[in-house]
Amino acid sequence: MSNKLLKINKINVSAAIHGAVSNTIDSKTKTENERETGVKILHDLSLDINEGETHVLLGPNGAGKSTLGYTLIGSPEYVVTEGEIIFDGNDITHETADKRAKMGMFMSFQSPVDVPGITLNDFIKEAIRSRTGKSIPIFKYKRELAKTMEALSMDEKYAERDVNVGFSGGEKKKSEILQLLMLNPKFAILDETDSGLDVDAVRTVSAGIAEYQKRQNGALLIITHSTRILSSLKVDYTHIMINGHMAATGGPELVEEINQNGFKRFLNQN
Amino acid sequence: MANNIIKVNHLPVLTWNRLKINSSEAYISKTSENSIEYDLPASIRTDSVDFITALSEFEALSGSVRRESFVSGKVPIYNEQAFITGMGKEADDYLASSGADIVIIDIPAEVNLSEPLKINVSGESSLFIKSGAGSAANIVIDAEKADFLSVRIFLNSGSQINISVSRVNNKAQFMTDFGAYLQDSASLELYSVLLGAEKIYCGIGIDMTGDNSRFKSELAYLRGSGEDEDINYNIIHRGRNTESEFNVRGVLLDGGSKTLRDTIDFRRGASGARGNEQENVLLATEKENSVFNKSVPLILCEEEDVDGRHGASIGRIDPKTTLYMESRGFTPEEARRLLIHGHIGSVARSIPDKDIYKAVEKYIEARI
Amino acid sequence: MNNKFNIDDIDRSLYDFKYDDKDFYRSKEGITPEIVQQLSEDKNDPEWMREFRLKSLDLYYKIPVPNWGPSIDGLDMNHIATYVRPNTNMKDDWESVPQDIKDTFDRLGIPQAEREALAGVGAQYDSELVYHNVKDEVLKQGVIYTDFESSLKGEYADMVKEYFMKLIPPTDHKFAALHGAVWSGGSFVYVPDNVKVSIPLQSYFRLNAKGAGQFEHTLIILGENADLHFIEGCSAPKYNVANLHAGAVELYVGKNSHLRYSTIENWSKNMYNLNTKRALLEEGASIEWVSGSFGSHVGNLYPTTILRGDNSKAEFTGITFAGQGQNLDTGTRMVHVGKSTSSIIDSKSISKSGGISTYRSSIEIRESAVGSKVSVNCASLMLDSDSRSDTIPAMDIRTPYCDVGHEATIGRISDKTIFYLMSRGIKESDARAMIVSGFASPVSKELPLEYAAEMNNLIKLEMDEG
Repeated sequence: MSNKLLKINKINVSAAIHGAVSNTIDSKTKTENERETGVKILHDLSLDINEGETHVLLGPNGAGKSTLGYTLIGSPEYVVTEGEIIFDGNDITHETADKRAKMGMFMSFQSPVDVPGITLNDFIKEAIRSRTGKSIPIFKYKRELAKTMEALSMDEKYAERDVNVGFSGGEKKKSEILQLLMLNPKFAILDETDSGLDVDAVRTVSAGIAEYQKRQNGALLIITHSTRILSSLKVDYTHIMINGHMAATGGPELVEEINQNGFKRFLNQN
Repeated sequence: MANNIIKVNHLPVLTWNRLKINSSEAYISKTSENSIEYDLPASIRTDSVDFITALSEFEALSGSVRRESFVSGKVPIYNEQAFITGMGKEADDYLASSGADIVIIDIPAEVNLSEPLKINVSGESSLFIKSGAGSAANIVIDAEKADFLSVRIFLNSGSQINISVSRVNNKAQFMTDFGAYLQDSASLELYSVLLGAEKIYCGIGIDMTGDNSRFKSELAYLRGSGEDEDINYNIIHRGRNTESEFNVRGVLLDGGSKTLRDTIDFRRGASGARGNEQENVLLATEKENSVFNKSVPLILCEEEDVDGRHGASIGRIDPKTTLYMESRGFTPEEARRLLIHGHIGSVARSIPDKDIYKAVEKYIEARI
Repeated sequence: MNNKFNIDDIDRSLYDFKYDDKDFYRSKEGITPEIVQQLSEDKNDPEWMREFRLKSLDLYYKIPVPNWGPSIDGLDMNHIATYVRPNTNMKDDWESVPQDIKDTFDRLGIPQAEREALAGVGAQYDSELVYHNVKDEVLKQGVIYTDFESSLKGEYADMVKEYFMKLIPPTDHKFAALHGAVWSGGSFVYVPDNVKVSIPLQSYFRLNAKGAGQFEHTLIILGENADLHFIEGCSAPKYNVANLHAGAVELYVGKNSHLRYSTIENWSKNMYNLNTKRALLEEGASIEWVSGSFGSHVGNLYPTTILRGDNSKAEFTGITFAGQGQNLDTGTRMVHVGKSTSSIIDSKSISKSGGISTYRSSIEIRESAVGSKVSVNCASLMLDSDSRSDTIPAMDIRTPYCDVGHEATIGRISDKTIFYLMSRGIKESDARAMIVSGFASPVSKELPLEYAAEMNNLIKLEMDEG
């Protein structure tokens, strides 16, 4: 029997309005309830994900899909005004991002930032050390890194380059999947991972995700508005989001339906 | 040497006096004995002479006609020296009278030095370096015990010099003045990591006289309570297809203060020239009203066929970057430390001496 | 009347001008206290204004000419008296207007009556009529819009006295002091709370026939929640025998009010344009400066905004085109005092045929300006190698809670772009003019249509002139 890894219970999410000292003084001294909020983006949203399951979230542009991703990973840009998020038995609704990551969450970002001055190699090594709390054997780590980079068709030189600095769109996405495979989280959110990738890169990234599915009984939430990347992945559930509401939930067959008919059927419901 | 005040770091073109950035006043302080230690291969000639003689020799090389006080016939500019440096004439006048240690280093033509030349300076010193046509050298200057370091380089055609200056020292003050002339196809790379010292004055003046010459530079600093850094970069493009690029990256902690004047100056005739200067200041303190940052990114131009870019980005750690790192399990504090290290580390890494790099990392770790 | 401003609170240190005594000017420089006295009497100034003028004159003698910026050596200081008393030596007939000015009017398609008005010579019949119509419209909304002299005597006299030259005090610089001594003409505008002025007000209608406009004083006060678009001048060349323009513009934008201040400056090419413009913003207030500088021999123009109130915003969009014989030193100053204030600067400059164009700015973020954001974008276009383009920006930041981005570029018209246009059948000179107009579009698209059209014509004219 699968264990419920993630339970999202009727959350309402609004955009946060930043105070003068955005994300620093304000978010430290104010609790979530005290923060000023703006437009409501997600309405009464619920979703359950069990260990090892792969969920796909589809919807037209502006539906709020990425917002859900950012809310789950703990971005200060959004505030959960109602409802709760339980991850691995813990209420993480108002928890900070790093704590969620330490509990086993991960997000592959749509537009990964540059992290100048820190090499990809050092970055991943530090992240692993930070998460496990202990030093990892260098030799084993280096071998693992080289193997994974090769599987992703990533030139080994990228390991010594500053994280994402000067990387092409495709390389940035590969860098995200590389981190996914090296950090091995329990649950990963992939936000528009295939945007900006050419055909070969999509295949490679897709294979990387499939590898993650195999290795650890990892759960996935794949957020996308095109279905290219899903073609060779095992999909357990498909959700359709329209205007911040969960419009439908189904099995993998829903993906094919969207491919054929688009989102027409669901747009009128709201 | 009390009460020695010199005016340094002049903006080539004056602006509003109330901003107090046209130049700075520096009190000279000397705390160590003068010495220049180096271990040079036999093929490189060195001379010990007095400052005026050395300077005259180099001014003859640069061509004293370079002194000009107007550009475009109308715009007055500061240029009191025949051999340009970043700090200006008063620094030269001081060195002439101060008894600083002087050395002329002459790298012969076509000589390619594989090992870095390591030079340790102490107290007040002035280095005059000439690279012969087609030569190449890597120079690493350890300025840990220096009070005042002056470096002048004349690069003959096709020569390449990589030079790094580093200093990790908590003395009260450090001044460094740099000037270089690049002939055709010469290339100069300069990396400076200046840490420690309550007050740091740094001037860098580059005259890209020759066609196809190249200048690349990176400078990093970290300033905290009671510390100030005053920098003046002046890069003149005269030759055709000249290229300059530099990056200044710094961190201001609580109470940190810094002034950066950086000028790209395209002279008529420098067609095909490209200049790119970027400044990045990380305001890494939580205390309100605790930093002092002046930035003056100047572009002067009298040539149509150029491409000049100047950017300055001053702010806090981007919340998106923090989120990205947190999503990998780093705490906000860990993220902050890593980013500060990275901010300065990306310059320190270019110094080809592991010991110096380690000293830099250690220093930063202790400060944050 | 609502008067929510505390003038005394204006931080004096903002205007700290320290000067070196060794440049102490002793000469009377063509203006004597007697001349000023006479001027004041002719205008029927209230007593306080007379004293003010004389004190300013004193400062004018003491303050030296700045040691930075374009040289004003060519300015004939000994004949400033002439400019102040226009009837004495100035010709005021159409015949003596230089031919190139007359030609420009022709090419811009400006009708006869307007030409003479712009030349400061003819009767302003048409413009008078239009002016009266505008005046009635806005009067209905409760807006006060009068010439400056009248404002000193009417029901708003006390208000004007309280605000006059507090934002730009005579101590500020030499030509502010001169202005204080010999100002003449200009407008006073008061927009009460909650009034949104539906049509732009234009100072063009205030131009006096007798060659005035050199020392005009503009004072605009917006109450709370008010909205106004003010357009200064027009794009046709203003011909003046006199060659000094030392006007002053003081703008007070009240809480949550919005002001757009547009200028197309095209003074004749013998002019020294040393105008001073300053705005003070209260909480939630915002200002947009739209500025096109095409004329003058020498220009010193730095519209300054003091973002005093929290959440106030300022935007500056400007273009400067320096052609032959011109040295235009323009830019902007933003002083962030309040919390969460923001400013955006988009400046373009073009240099051609030996012209010198300088972008000069200063961004000050005070300790109190927590949460401020600034974005600066300056682009310079060099059209040949006879000209010059300098960018001299300065940023002074005293709080760690801010976000400042600055980008400056300099270059030429890309050959690839010219080729692309030519491959669509456009001849090269037209292609260049199109590209330059495109470069200037951030300004032209902020202007009312007829101004944008005139501005584009101006550009075309500049590009055509060899």
